[in-house]
Amino acid sequence: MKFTRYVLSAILTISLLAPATISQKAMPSASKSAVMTALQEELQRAQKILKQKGDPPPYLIAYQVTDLQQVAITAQYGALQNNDSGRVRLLDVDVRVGDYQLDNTHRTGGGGGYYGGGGAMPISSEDDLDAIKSSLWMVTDQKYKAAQERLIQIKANQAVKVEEEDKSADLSRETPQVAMTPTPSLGKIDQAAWEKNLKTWSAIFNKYPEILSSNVSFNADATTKYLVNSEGTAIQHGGTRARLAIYARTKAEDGMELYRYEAFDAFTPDKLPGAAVIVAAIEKMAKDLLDLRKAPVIEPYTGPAILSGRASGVFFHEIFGHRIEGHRQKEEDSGQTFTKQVNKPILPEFISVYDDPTLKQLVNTDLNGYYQFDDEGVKAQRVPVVENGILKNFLMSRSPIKGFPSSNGHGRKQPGMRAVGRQGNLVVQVSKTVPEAKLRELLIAECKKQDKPFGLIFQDISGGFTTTGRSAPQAFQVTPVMVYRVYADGRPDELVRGVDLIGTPLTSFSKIVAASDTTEVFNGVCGAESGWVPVSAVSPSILTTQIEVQKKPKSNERLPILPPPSQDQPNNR
Amino acid sequence: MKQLFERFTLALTIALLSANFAFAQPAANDSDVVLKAMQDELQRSISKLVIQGQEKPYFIEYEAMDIKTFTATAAFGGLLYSQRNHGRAMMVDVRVGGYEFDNEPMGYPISVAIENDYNALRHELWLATDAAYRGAVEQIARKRAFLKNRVDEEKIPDFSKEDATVLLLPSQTLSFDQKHWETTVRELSALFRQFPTIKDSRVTFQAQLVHRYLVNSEGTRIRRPMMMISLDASAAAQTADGMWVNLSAPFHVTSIDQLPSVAEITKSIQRMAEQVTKLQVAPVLNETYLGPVLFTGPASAEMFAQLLAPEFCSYRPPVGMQGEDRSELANRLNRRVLPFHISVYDDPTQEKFGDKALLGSYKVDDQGVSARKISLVEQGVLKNLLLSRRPRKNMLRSNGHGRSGLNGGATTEIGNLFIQSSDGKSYDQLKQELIKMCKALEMPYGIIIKGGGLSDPALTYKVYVDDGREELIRGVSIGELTVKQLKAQIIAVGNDSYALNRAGGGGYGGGVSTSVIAPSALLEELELKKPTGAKQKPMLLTHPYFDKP
Repeated sequence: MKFTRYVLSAILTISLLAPATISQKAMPSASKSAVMTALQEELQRAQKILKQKGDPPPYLIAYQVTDLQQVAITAQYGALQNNDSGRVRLLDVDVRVGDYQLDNTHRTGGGGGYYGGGGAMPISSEDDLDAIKSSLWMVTDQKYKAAQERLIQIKANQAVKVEEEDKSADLSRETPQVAMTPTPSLGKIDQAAWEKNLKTWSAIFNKYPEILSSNVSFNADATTKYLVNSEGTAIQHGGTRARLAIYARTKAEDGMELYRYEAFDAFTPDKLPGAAVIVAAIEKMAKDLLDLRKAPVIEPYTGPAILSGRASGVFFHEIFGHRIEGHRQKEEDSGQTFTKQVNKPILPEFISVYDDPTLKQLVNTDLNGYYQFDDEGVKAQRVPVVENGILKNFLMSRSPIKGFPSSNGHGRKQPGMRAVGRQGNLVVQVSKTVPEAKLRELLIAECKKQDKPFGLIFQDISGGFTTTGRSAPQAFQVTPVMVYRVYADGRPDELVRGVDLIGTPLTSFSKIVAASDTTEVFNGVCGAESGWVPVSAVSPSILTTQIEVQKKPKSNERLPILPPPSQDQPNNR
Repeated sequence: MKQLFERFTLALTIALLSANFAFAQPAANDSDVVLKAMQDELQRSISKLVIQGQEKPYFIEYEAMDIKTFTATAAFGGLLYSQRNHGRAMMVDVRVGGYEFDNEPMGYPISVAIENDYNALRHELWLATDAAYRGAVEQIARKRAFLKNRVDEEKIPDFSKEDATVLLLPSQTLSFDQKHWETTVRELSALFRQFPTIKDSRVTFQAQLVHRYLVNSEGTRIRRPMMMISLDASAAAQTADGMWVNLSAPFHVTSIDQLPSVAEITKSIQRMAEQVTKLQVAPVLNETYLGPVLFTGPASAEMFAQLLAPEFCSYRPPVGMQGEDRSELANRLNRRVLPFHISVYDDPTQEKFGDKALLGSYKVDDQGVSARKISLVEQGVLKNLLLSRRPRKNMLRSNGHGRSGLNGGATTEIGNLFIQSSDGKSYDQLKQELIKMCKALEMPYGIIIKGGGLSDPALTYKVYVDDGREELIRGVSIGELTVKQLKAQIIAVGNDSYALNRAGGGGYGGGVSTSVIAPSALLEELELKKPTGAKQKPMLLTHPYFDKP
């Protein structure tokens, strides 16, 4: 039954993500939009009333509206699977009672300052002031009352529990921001042309009966975020994004599930790669899968390895990046790997890591993690996390931690959730590089030094943010997909399958000995406590002297009993 | 083969009787790609699919649901969203063993191509059938192991064998003026700007066209379109003591032209809004009431829908599954369960009641068994139960009531349930009877419930015995009432009939749509409780539109 639910929710997602076209009243060209006016006027009114009647009055009220216009088209086996487009405006209301030091968002039993989102509410997608305003006041009232109750519980809890280790405030004080950027637009999207292309591309997989399921999808969205709060912040900003994604799955003869997923991201659809690149990617994917089916299963291995720039990017994002998100440092139930490592070496000296959401592009690629303001209205900024191997900083939302009292513009979330410190564009920088070919020589040298017959090259790793629409999300799971043995004796490289990373992957970072001079970008969407947010990870290829892998547990399901219908003899009844 | 032919003729007759549809092309020439993909893959699977050393499927069924939905929702004069969706789901049912004993599968929907692409659809069916067959082989092995050390006293077959049905109704298109309905919904939602008491309101228009396809290895082939148009307005207000009161004004029809005019809908919404306004200042029941209650109109139909309808629809859960036969009446066949003057039947073949389209109408059920009228209670005596293809003791064939929502997985469900009396009284007579009973009990007032269900009798009135005046009250909750009590509880019923359409949730996860046609009913003694528990404080903030300086 559970499975039923899941499948249904997958169908439902279409309608949630993609409410269809709305007869649009003309967007106002005036600098101040109806949404902004409504939010500001209602904020002032709510503040005034609650100041008189509230006991105690809230110390902060914030409204955020996310205006989403989306197009989503998917094709499989040459046929259209869905084409949905739409527009929705979602409202988030944050009402805080107490004070900056201790408020209703405090997490009892360890850490605090971010708990509880409460879901987003659709409001009028038309610019009618009265209609927009009619949605705000009741939620504000409900949130205020809930906050009042919660604060009383928190204070009672504090009285009976031991003191918390981290006595940081629940909300940092920040400079109010005022900004008004033009509303982004996707322009005219030729849906018929996209349908036709996607169908043509998805039909390429029909040539390969071994590939059990596959699809090609196109998504584009224009998002405008409006944020106002009682501290004086009033921001209207946004952007557009487009993605073309390819997914395919097969099974090895022994039942092992094998899949590939590849996506192309750009700020606008016209900047996505052309047909030739996409067709080549599909053919490559099909070939990879066919090769993988025949590839030997990996045996447990510990030894040197190269991670390609993209693989290293994913690796850094998942294994390292999530551990330097600020809020995690005060969660008492969290690993807190780096909490007490500030100003101590955690990476080799030649490696620096920073997260910079203000970067729009690197190596000619649009970066998914670009934004001007975070979801708490703090200006995006470059954060040096690791400088020459020394841990310097965390990715901070407005939930402070010991030693880091302010946000650095990394409070991010999807509508309906509460922001936490999240990555934007995570960039791995190295101070000494070698040419790509040299890195391979170093790998072989390291193998010989360690007396290993071979080393590994990770060409592609699928992380928690490369999940597809159809398979279950694998948040935080790092699955190496394309891994090759590089033999020390000069034999040709050999593809292996079923690779599973084990041990403490973090040790692999401390054992990085070299990096190449070519940098690669991995664009994705990352899911965590505060929902899904677009991110990028950028890294050169790296060589580590130690990585530990084992054989992935495989499914016992065999290949389908009958051949695909297209390959079977016609029925003669 | 003979069976099949007869059924085909029957299907043809049904189709010709229907004024709405022209009959489709004969089966052999039908060029429906969806149907053809389903049939061809079914044929291939039933003849070839087998794991060596295991049993072959004895039955395979494919069901496809093509769902086109348009929804426009507005509040307070602004559209919240307006969306068109098109999705298609397939369900695959593979049975191994035999009708007597099988794996009792539970299917689940998979999302497939929305285009009529033969290869793409077959490909999905191929994968799903393969998975379902493997599941079936495992399920039956588990079931046999489970039963190894258990004594199964009642040998009831797992699945009924039915004749093949062929019913290919022509496809329909969902055509309507999107702009017009967006405007209408927006304007209707702005009506609430005239009602300062109402704090929250919504108006939703939904047009849904579902094409259901069914093919099985017994030879059944079905294609049928189902249209449902809904317009629903809801409104909520908060009373001075913090209680929320809300009402809705729903319209459900089976084609756009059946919807009342916008002027009429406007009136109906205004009436509802006025009633919410009245409820907001209505007094609460200030004491526990124990005495006669008259249910009338939609409240009576809802009462029968909640209390009586499930009793005819008991469903034997699969072996080893939790849950029991939930019917309290199932073991009372040929016993009196209602007053002698009451009869009950279910008739999915009736498409309208008066002018009102009945949502519980269908020609074949969702397992491909043709619909028919079933007499359930005759002169108060339980005569029959509704059946799907899941047999019951001594009831081995379906009677056309295997129904599923848009999730698939058919269980037993009513279609159009009719409750009738040979001794119906007028509303005035019922009201006088109520007053007479109250007087005999020396009670100052009785109770009439005109709207809402058993859990939320939204429109409840006190009727004073001295002058018969009616007073709206709020916050009432009804004490326990079971179906077994009905026989003794029902003092009299009306000569009226209210047709209540119960839409099974327009979208996903929704159940089936049904109708209940019932008279008013006077019950002897119900307990009505006054509101209890801590109430919410009234809101501090005010509605900006009604609180302008």
